[in-house]
Amino acid sequence: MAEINCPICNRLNKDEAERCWYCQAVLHPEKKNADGSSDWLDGFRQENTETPFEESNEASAGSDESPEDVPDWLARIRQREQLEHGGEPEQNPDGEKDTLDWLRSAVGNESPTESNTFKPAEVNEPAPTESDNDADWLGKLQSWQEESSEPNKSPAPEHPFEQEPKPSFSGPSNQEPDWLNEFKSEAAQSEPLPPEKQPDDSSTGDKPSPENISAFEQEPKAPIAEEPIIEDSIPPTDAIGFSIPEGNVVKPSSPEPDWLTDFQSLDETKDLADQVMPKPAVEEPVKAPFSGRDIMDWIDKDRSTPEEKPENAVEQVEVPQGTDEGIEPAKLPSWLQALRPDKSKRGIAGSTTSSDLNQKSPLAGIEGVLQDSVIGQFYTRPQTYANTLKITPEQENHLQRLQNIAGEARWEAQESVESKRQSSILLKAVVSLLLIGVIVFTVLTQKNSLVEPTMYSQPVVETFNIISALDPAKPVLIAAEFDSGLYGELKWSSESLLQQLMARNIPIAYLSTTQAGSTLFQATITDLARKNQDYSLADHTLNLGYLTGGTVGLQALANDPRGTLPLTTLMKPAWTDTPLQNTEKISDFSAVIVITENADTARYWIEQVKPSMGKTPLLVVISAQSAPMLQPYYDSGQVNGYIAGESGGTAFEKMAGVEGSSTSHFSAYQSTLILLVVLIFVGGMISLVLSTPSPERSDKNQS
Amino acid sequence: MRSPIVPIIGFLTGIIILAGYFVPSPVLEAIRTPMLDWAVILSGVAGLIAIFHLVFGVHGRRLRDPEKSHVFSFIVILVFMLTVAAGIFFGINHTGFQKVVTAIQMPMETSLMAVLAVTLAYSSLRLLQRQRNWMGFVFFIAVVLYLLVNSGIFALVTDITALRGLVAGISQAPLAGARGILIGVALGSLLTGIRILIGSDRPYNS
Repeated sequence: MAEINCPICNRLNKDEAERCWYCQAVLHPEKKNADGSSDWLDGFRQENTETPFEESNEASAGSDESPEDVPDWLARIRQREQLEHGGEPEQNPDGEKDTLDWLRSAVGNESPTESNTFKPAEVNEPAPTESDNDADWLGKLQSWQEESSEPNKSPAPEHPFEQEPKPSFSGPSNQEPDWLNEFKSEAAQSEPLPPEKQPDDSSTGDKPSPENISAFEQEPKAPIAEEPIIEDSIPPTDAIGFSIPEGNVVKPSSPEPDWLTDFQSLDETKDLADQVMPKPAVEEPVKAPFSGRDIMDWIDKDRSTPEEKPENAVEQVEVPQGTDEGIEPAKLPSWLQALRPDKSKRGIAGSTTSSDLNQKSPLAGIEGVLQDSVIGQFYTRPQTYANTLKITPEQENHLQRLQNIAGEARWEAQESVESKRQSSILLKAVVSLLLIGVIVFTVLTQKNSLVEPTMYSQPVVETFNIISALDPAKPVLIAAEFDSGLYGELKWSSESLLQQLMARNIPIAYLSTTQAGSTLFQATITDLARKNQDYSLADHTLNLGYLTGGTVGLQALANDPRGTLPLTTLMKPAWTDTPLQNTEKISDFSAVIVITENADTARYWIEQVKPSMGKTPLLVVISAQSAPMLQPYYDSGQVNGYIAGESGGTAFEKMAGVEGSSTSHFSAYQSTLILLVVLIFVGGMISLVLSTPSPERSDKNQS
Repeated sequence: MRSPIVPIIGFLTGIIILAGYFVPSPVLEAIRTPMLDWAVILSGVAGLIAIFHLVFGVHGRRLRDPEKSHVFSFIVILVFMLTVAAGIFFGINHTGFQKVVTAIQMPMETSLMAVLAVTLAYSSLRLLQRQRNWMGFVFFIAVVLYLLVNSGIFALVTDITALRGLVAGISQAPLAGARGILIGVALGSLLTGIRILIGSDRPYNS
């Protein structure tokens, strides 16, 4: 069986088939041309007269108008066409009108809500027979459109323009309507009539939009670009964007309709828009394919200045590359111009928009796009500064003066600090000399004290009474808990007490919890023994040495004196053949006397040893500075008596009736104290009257 | 992680010592006394270790360090060696050896105390210049008053009964402050002891 290739899709079909089984294209166009060229339009014409769009849309009601209602521009086209073709009469005057009618109806049947509802043709649809009229496919097309539009009879969206899908312009050529193929075949002049085929959904039913236009413009090789008249010749409602690849164009062989040949007579040097579609006398905006309520606000704003937009819009129309450069850019319809962003607004938002950005950039037409030149207006290069400071001679003079002032101020400040330092040294020297002078004077003159102490404190009296009542058979434990620094005060304070013990031949065992205490006390008792020849140090004294461990050592001593201090400093047994041989416990001592300058040391003895002493009295010789801390223990009975400082020693000597070191030095001590009181009082008053404290220091003190 | 054995030993030792302090039990006494003796011995050994560390550790290292001055470290080590040698050779009860303390150590420390006394006297002159607030005035008055009390000059007014009572009251005034200090010290010591017993503070494990 013989097979032929489809001229459109190049697929094999049966030889007897009239149409391609796949694409429904006419397989034998020569037969169709022999039957008559324009009969197929009759059926389409009949179908168009029944479209509801024509009933409602007056602008697209060309099929109902009489020959007298032909617009002027069309009349001029016809007239010019007649002149160019030698005054040939119109073969089918109705054909032109009908051709426009079907074109209008092809789009006019699509309501805004049914524009994109074309479905592909059924592939299993039976191929039409050869006896069918060629125009039946158009009838099927119309009926198919109606059927396909039914499922989308949903309520119209508020903004249908936004919801419509973008059309595809890259579809195959067999999806294009015949009228367009016929139009393209006009250039070829020798091609057969375009095959009949059903339109595809990708190429029909699209509403005009900026995307459509831009896509249309970006198709450089599209044959339609060679005839920009077509763009303007199509009414605004028929702006369907699609392109036809050159290879797939089926060029008709029959003569084109008259209305198409009219376009060949257009003058390319003139505005094609004016030639094809002259402006109406009354410049009322062409009705947009959308109802007013469906247009967005920004479109309304743009439409408020219709007189400015056509000129601006024409400038922005891009001529496709590769096309005839002699063709002037077509004038966009007013409704499309209205969709374009306002140039003035773009100038405000982005200052200046380059033509390249407007026409070639993917951001073409988008408002508010920043460009390099715009960014340069907002940002400037950082300013650089030189490293060297440039000053004028006058500024240099001022600087020199400032340096002189600062130098003088600094010199004055240094002088002030130096003066203060010298005065401080002088004052310290004066105070030292006064103190030393008073002490030396009183010692050298052997003057008695200014006021003899007549008030003996109760602790001193208790101490004297306890010492006086001690059993001479029992030893006394003395803790020499002092350092070398305050040894002088404690030596004078305790000297009379030790003399009292020696006078009564009371054995003395001594120890220390400080490294130098036992040594210093040994030196003291050695000196006192020289004054009292009857008192033998070897027989009556025992040096137990250094007791380590602090409070732990004292606790151990209180629990087990023999185990804690088994040897003397001579490395002999301390508890055999000595005055301590009868002593087993700490309570076996006749008294425990603590000589210390530190209140904490006295407290350790009170806390650790006193509980183990029983009725053994605890006496303390303490420095005057720590006496107040010992007073509570005396009040509570934990300390049986104490001698505090030079005053207590002197009082004890007075009670004992001896003239000791404390009494001899008490005059110097008293004189020095009185001198100090005078100095402090006078100095305080002078400071209070003359000196002014700094604000910072005063605030700090207040806080 | 620290071993729990050490805190347990510390806790048991503290409890035994504390119990023996309040409960006169021969058993506790037998346990407590050797523990205290060990503590005293360990304290003495610790003192020796500290001395040797100071002399041979700190100053010996300074002598080996070329970047530091060697003079004072050399003097410290030399004097330490001489003192130890004299104590071993003469004994600590020798009169000549006692001069090391009485003729060297004691005058030096006493001189420092004399300088301190002069410095305090000079500072007392400028007391109101730096502390011109109500606490400064209170301190100023207290200093003057108690210097006079300790000087015994109020013996002149002992014949006046009212003044005698006033002077006696002023003399006892520091007792209040001393009691407050001692109560605070006692509470602090008690809290520290409890924390050590329950293992919250571990000075023995640091």
